[in-house]
Amino acid sequence: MITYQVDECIDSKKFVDACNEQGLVSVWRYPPSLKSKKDPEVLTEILPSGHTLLTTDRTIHFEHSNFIPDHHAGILIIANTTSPQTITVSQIMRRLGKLKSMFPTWHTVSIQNSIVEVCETGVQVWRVIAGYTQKIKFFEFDQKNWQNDLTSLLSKIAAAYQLPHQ
Amino acid sequence: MIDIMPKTRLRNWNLLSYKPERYTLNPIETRHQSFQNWFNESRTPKPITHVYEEWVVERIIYATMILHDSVETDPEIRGGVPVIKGTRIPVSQILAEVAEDEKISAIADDFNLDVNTLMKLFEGMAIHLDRPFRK
Repeated sequence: MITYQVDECIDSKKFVDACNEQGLVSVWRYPPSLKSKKDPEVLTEILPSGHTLLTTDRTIHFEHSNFIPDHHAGILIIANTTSPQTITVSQIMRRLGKLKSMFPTWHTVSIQNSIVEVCETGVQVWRVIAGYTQKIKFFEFDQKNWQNDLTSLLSKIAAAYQLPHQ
Repeated sequence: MIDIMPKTRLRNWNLLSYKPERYTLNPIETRHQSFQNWFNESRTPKPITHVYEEWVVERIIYATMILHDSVETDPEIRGGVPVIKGTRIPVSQILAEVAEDEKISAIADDFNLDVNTLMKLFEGMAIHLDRPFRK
Protein backbone atom coordinates (compact mmCIF):
# COMPACT_ATOMS: atom_id res chain seq x y z
CA MET A 1 0.00 0.00 0.00
CA ILE A 2 1.36 3.40 -1.00
CA THR A 3 1.76 5.92 1.80
CA TYR A 4 1.03 9.57 1.17
CA GLN A 5 2.25 12.34 3.42
CA VAL A 6 0.05 15.42 3.16
CA ASP A 7 1.50 18.91 3.10
CA GLU A 8 0.16 21.32 5.71
CA CYS A 9 -2.16 22.94 3.15
CA ILE A 10 -4.05 19.63 2.77
CA ASP A 11 -3.69 18.65 6.41
CA SER A 12 -7.45 18.49 6.78
CA LYS A 13 -8.92 16.06 9.26
CA LYS A 14 -11.93 15.29 7.05
CA PHE A 15 -9.76 14.73 3.96
CA VAL A 16 -7.27 12.41 5.68
CA ASP A 17 -10.05 10.49 7.44
CA ALA A 18 -11.98 10.06 4.17
CA CYS A 19 -8.87 8.74 2.41
CA ASN A 20 -8.00 6.32 5.20
CA GLU A 21 -11.60 5.09 5.44
CA GLN A 22 -11.43 3.95 1.82
CA GLY A 23 -8.37 1.89 2.73
CA LEU A 24 -6.82 2.01 -0.73
CA VAL A 25 -3.84 4.08 0.33
CA SER A 26 -2.44 5.15 3.65
CA VAL A 27 -2.49 8.89 4.26
CA TRP A 28 -0.47 10.49 7.04
CA ARG A 29 -1.24 13.82 8.58
CA TYR A 30 1.34 16.60 8.53
CA PRO A 31 3.89 16.06 11.30
CA PRO A 32 3.78 18.79 14.00
CA SER A 33 7.58 18.92 13.94
CA LEU A 34 7.41 20.36 10.42
CA LYS A 35 4.92 23.12 11.28
CA SER A 36 5.85 26.43 9.63
CA LYS A 37 8.94 24.86 8.08
CA LYS A 38 10.20 26.25 4.82
CA ASP A 39 9.83 24.47 1.47
CA PRO A 40 13.42 23.13 1.32
CA GLU A 41 13.17 21.73 4.86
CA VAL A 42 9.83 20.05 4.05
CA LEU A 43 11.27 18.49 0.90
CA THR A 44 14.43 17.26 2.61
CA GLU A 45 12.42 15.78 5.49
CA ILE A 46 9.57 14.12 3.60
CA LEU A 47 11.08 12.93 0.33
CA PRO A 48 13.80 10.67 1.82
CA SER A 49 11.22 9.12 4.18
CA GLY A 50 9.77 7.06 1.31
CA HIS A 51 6.33 8.68 1.50
CA THR A 52 4.79 10.42 -1.48
CA LEU A 53 4.22 14.10 -0.79
CA LEU A 54 0.68 15.30 -1.46
CA THR A 55 0.45 19.06 -1.87
CA THR A 56 -1.33 21.91 -3.65
CA ASP A 57 1.87 23.89 -4.14
CA ARG A 58 2.34 24.16 -7.89
CA THR A 59 5.71 25.88 -7.69
CA ILE A 60 7.56 23.69 -5.21
CA HIS A 61 9.30 21.60 -7.89
CA PHE A 62 10.39 24.66 -9.85
CA GLU A 63 11.60 26.88 -7.07
CA HIS A 64 13.28 24.22 -4.96
CA SER A 65 14.29 21.65 -7.55
CA ASN A 66 17.77 21.59 -5.95
CA PHE A 67 16.24 19.93 -2.91
CA ILE A 68 14.52 17.19 -4.90
CA PRO A 69 16.82 14.20 -5.42
CA ASP A 70 16.79 12.17 -8.62
CA HIS A 71 15.24 9.27 -6.72
CA HIS A 72 12.40 9.98 -4.35
CA ALA A 73 8.97 8.66 -3.43
CA GLY A 74 7.18 11.13 -5.68
CA ILE A 75 5.21 14.33 -5.37
CA LEU A 76 1.50 14.47 -6.15
CA ILE A 77 0.17 17.96 -6.77
CA ILE A 78 -3.55 18.69 -6.93
CA ALA A 79 -4.11 22.10 -8.46
CA ASN A 80 -6.36 24.26 -10.55
CA THR A 81 -4.59 25.16 -13.77
CA THR A 82 -7.39 26.40 -16.00
CA SER A 83 -10.06 27.66 -13.62
CA PRO A 84 -9.34 30.83 -11.65
CA GLN A 85 -10.69 29.44 -8.37
CA THR A 86 -8.38 28.71 -5.47
CA ILE A 87 -8.37 25.03 -4.67
CA THR A 88 -10.10 23.90 -1.50
CA VAL A 89 -10.24 20.61 0.37
CA SER A 90 -13.66 19.73 -1.03
CA GLN A 91 -12.41 20.48 -4.56
CA ILE A 92 -9.41 18.19 -3.95
CA MET A 93 -11.75 15.43 -2.82
CA ARG A 94 -13.95 15.90 -5.89
CA ARG A 95 -10.88 15.92 -8.18
CA LEU A 96 -9.49 12.73 -6.69
CA GLY A 97 -12.95 11.13 -6.83
CA LYS A 98 -13.16 11.97 -10.52
CA LEU A 99 -9.67 10.57 -11.10
CA LYS A 100 -10.53 7.34 -9.28
CA SER A 101 -13.73 6.92 -11.28
CA MET A 102 -11.78 7.23 -14.55
CA PHE A 103 -8.77 5.27 -13.33
CA PRO A 104 -9.94 2.75 -10.71
CA THR A 105 -6.47 1.22 -10.21
CA TRP A 106 -4.88 4.63 -9.61
CA HIS A 107 -3.98 3.76 -6.03
CA THR A 108 -1.69 0.91 -7.16
CA VAL A 109 0.41 3.10 -9.44
CA SER A 110 3.68 4.17 -7.92
CA ILE A 111 4.77 7.70 -8.78
CA GLN A 112 8.34 7.20 -7.62
CA ASN A 113 10.80 9.78 -9.00
CA SER A 114 7.94 11.62 -10.72
CA ILE A 115 6.06 14.78 -9.97
CA VAL A 116 2.45 14.28 -10.97
CA GLU A 117 0.08 17.21 -11.21
CA VAL A 118 -3.61 16.41 -11.33
CA CYS A 119 -5.51 19.31 -12.83
CA GLU A 120 -9.03 19.82 -14.18
CA THR A 121 -8.42 18.47 -17.67
CA GLY A 122 -5.69 15.90 -17.18
CA VAL A 123 -2.49 14.76 -15.55
CA GLN A 124 0.89 16.41 -16.08
CA VAL A 125 4.06 14.46 -15.38
CA TRP A 126 7.29 16.21 -14.40
CA ARG A 127 10.66 14.90 -13.38
CA VAL A 128 13.66 16.43 -11.66
CA ILE A 129 17.05 15.31 -12.90
CA ALA A 130 20.21 16.75 -11.36
CA GLY A 131 18.25 19.65 -9.92
CA TYR A 132 16.51 20.56 -13.16
CA THR A 133 12.77 20.17 -13.61
CA GLN A 134 11.71 18.57 -16.86
CA LYS A 135 8.22 18.55 -18.30
CA ILE A 136 7.62 15.01 -19.47
CA LYS A 137 4.06 14.60 -20.76
CA PHE A 138 0.48 15.77 -20.32
CA PHE A 139 -2.26 13.16 -20.38
CA GLU A 140 -5.68 14.57 -21.19
CA PHE A 141 -8.69 12.90 -19.64
CA ASP A 142 -10.38 12.95 -23.08
CA GLN A 143 -7.48 11.07 -24.62
CA LYS A 144 -8.05 7.39 -25.37
CA ASN A 145 -6.24 4.90 -23.11
CA TRP A 146 -4.48 7.64 -21.16
CA GLN A 147 -4.53 5.43 -18.05
CA ASN A 148 -2.31 2.77 -19.64
CA ASP A 149 0.04 5.34 -21.16
CA LEU A 150 0.39 7.10 -17.82
CA THR A 151 1.01 3.85 -15.96
CA SER A 152 3.73 2.75 -18.38
CA LEU A 153 5.42 6.16 -18.28
CA LEU A 154 5.37 6.29 -14.47
CA SER A 155 6.73 2.76 -14.17
CA LYS A 156 9.54 3.62 -16.61
CA ILE A 157 10.47 6.67 -14.54
CA ALA A 158 10.23 4.67 -11.31
CA ALA A 159 12.50 1.96 -12.74
CA ALA A 160 15.09 4.48 -13.87
CA TYR A 161 16.10 5.19 -10.28
CA GLN A 162 15.29 3.13 -7.25
CA LEU A 163 15.18 4.42 -3.71
CA PRO A 164 18.35 3.43 -1.79
CA HIS A 165 16.49 1.25 0.73
CA GLN A 166 14.64 -0.78 -1.92
CA MET B 1 -43.55 104.67 11.08
CA ILE B 2 -39.81 104.56 10.41
CA ASP B 3 -39.14 106.11 13.76
CA ILE B 4 -41.10 103.39 15.54
CA MET B 5 -39.17 100.48 13.86
CA PRO B 6 -36.35 99.17 16.06
CA LYS B 7 -32.84 99.90 14.90
CA THR B 8 -31.75 96.26 14.71
CA ARG B 9 -34.57 95.38 12.41
CA LEU B 10 -33.76 98.27 10.22
CA ARG B 11 -30.15 97.14 10.08
CA ASN B 12 -31.23 93.63 9.06
CA TRP B 13 -33.47 94.96 6.40
CA ASN B 14 -30.58 96.98 5.05
CA LEU B 15 -28.34 93.89 4.95
CA LEU B 16 -30.93 91.88 3.11
CA SER B 17 -31.43 94.55 0.52
CA TYR B 18 -27.70 94.97 0.00
CA LYS B 19 -26.55 94.16 -3.48
CA PRO B 20 -22.81 94.20 -4.22
CA GLU B 21 -21.58 96.28 -7.05
CA ARG B 22 -21.16 94.27 -10.19
CA TYR B 23 -17.55 94.18 -11.29
CA THR B 24 -16.65 92.79 -14.67
CA LEU B 25 -13.16 91.61 -15.54
CA ASN B 26 -11.58 91.85 -18.94
CA PRO B 27 -10.65 88.44 -20.53
CA ILE B 28 -7.01 88.52 -19.39
CA GLU B 29 -7.98 89.47 -15.87
CA THR B 30 -10.65 86.72 -15.83
CA ARG B 31 -8.09 84.11 -16.81
CA HIS B 32 -5.71 85.32 -14.18
CA GLN B 33 -8.49 85.39 -11.58
CA SER B 34 -9.60 81.85 -12.36
CA PHE B 35 -6.01 80.61 -12.07
CA GLN B 36 -5.69 82.48 -8.78
CA ASN B 37 -8.90 80.91 -7.51
CA TRP B 38 -7.74 77.43 -8.53
CA PHE B 39 -4.33 78.01 -6.96
CA ASN B 40 -5.85 79.27 -3.72
CA GLU B 41 -8.34 76.41 -3.60
CA SER B 42 -5.67 73.81 -4.15
CA ARG B 43 -3.56 75.28 -1.35
CA THR B 44 -6.38 75.76 1.07
CA PRO B 45 -6.51 72.92 3.62
CA LYS B 46 -9.78 71.03 3.63
CA PRO B 47 -10.36 70.24 7.27
CA ILE B 48 -13.07 67.58 6.90
CA THR B 49 -11.26 65.62 4.19
CA HIS B 50 -8.03 65.89 6.13
CA VAL B 51 -9.60 64.39 9.22
CA TYR B 52 -11.14 61.61 7.12
CA GLU B 53 -7.79 60.79 5.52
CA GLU B 54 -6.11 60.66 8.92
CA TRP B 55 -8.80 58.23 10.05
CA VAL B 56 -8.21 56.07 6.95
CA VAL B 57 -4.45 56.06 7.57
CA GLU B 58 -4.98 55.12 11.22
CA ARG B 59 -7.23 52.26 10.15
CA ILE B 60 -4.68 51.03 7.60
CA ILE B 61 -2.00 51.03 10.29
CA TYR B 62 -4.32 49.16 12.65
CA ALA B 63 -5.25 46.63 9.93
CA THR B 64 -1.59 46.14 9.04
CA MET B 65 -0.78 45.45 12.68
CA ILE B 66 -3.58 42.89 12.93
CA LEU B 67 -2.61 41.24 9.64
CA HIS B 68 1.01 41.17 10.78
CA ASP B 69 -0.09 38.97 13.70
CA SER B 70 -2.02 36.56 11.49
CA VAL B 71 -0.34 36.52 8.08
CA GLU B 72 3.24 36.10 6.92
CA THR B 73 5.02 36.06 3.60
CA ASP B 74 8.31 34.30 3.07
CA PRO B 75 9.74 33.44 -0.34
CA GLU B 76 10.83 30.10 1.11
CA ILE B 77 7.31 29.16 2.25
CA ARG B 78 4.93 28.28 -0.57
CA GLY B 79 6.96 30.42 -2.94
CA GLY B 80 6.06 33.66 -1.14
CA VAL B 81 2.29 33.25 -1.18
CA PRO B 82 0.80 34.86 1.97
CA VAL B 83 0.19 32.13 4.52
CA ILE B 84 -1.40 31.95 7.97
CA LYS B 85 1.34 32.83 10.44
CA GLY B 86 3.27 29.80 11.66
CA THR B 87 1.80 27.47 9.03
CA ARG B 88 2.09 26.58 5.35
CA ILE B 89 -1.62 27.18 4.71
CA PRO B 90 -2.26 29.95 2.15
CA VAL B 91 -4.59 32.77 3.16
CA SER B 92 -6.28 32.38 -0.22
CA GLN B 93 -7.22 28.82 0.65
CA ILE B 94 -8.87 29.92 3.90
CA LEU B 95 -10.84 32.57 2.01
CA ALA B 96 -11.83 30.00 -0.62
CA GLU B 97 -12.96 27.60 2.11
CA VAL B 98 -15.15 30.35 3.60
CA ALA B 99 -16.49 31.10 0.12
CA GLU B 100 -17.55 27.45 -0.01
CA ASP B 101 -19.76 28.03 3.03
CA GLU B 102 -17.36 26.62 5.61
CA LYS B 103 -17.52 28.09 9.11
CA ILE B 104 -14.36 29.68 10.50
CA SER B 105 -14.51 27.49 13.59
CA ALA B 106 -14.91 24.38 11.41
CA ILE B 107 -11.92 25.39 9.28
CA ALA B 108 -9.83 26.01 12.40
CA ASP B 109 -10.82 22.62 13.79
CA ASP B 110 -10.20 20.82 10.49
CA PHE B 111 -6.72 22.30 9.93
CA ASN B 112 -5.67 22.45 13.59
CA LEU B 113 -5.53 26.24 13.50
CA ASP B 114 -6.14 28.83 16.18
CA VAL B 115 -9.59 30.40 15.74
CA ASN B 116 -8.33 33.76 17.02
CA THR B 117 -5.70 33.87 14.28
CA LEU B 118 -8.37 33.37 11.65
CA MET B 119 -10.62 35.97 13.32
CA LYS B 120 -7.73 38.44 13.26
CA LEU B 121 -7.16 37.70 9.58
CA PHE B 122 -10.77 38.50 8.71
CA GLU B 123 -10.90 41.55 10.95
CA GLY B 124 -7.68 42.89 9.46
CA MET B 125 -8.87 42.34 5.93
CA ALA B 126 -12.25 43.94 6.68
CA ILE B 127 -10.59 47.08 8.03
CA HIS B 128 -8.00 47.16 5.26
CA LEU B 129 -10.63 46.99 2.54
CA ASP B 130 -13.00 49.51 4.12
CA ARG B 131 -11.66 52.57 2.33
CA PRO B 132 -11.93 54.16 -1.06
CA PHE B 133 -9.32 52.93 -3.56
CA ARG B 134 -8.55 55.88 -5.77
CA LYS B 135 -5.61 57.29 -7.66
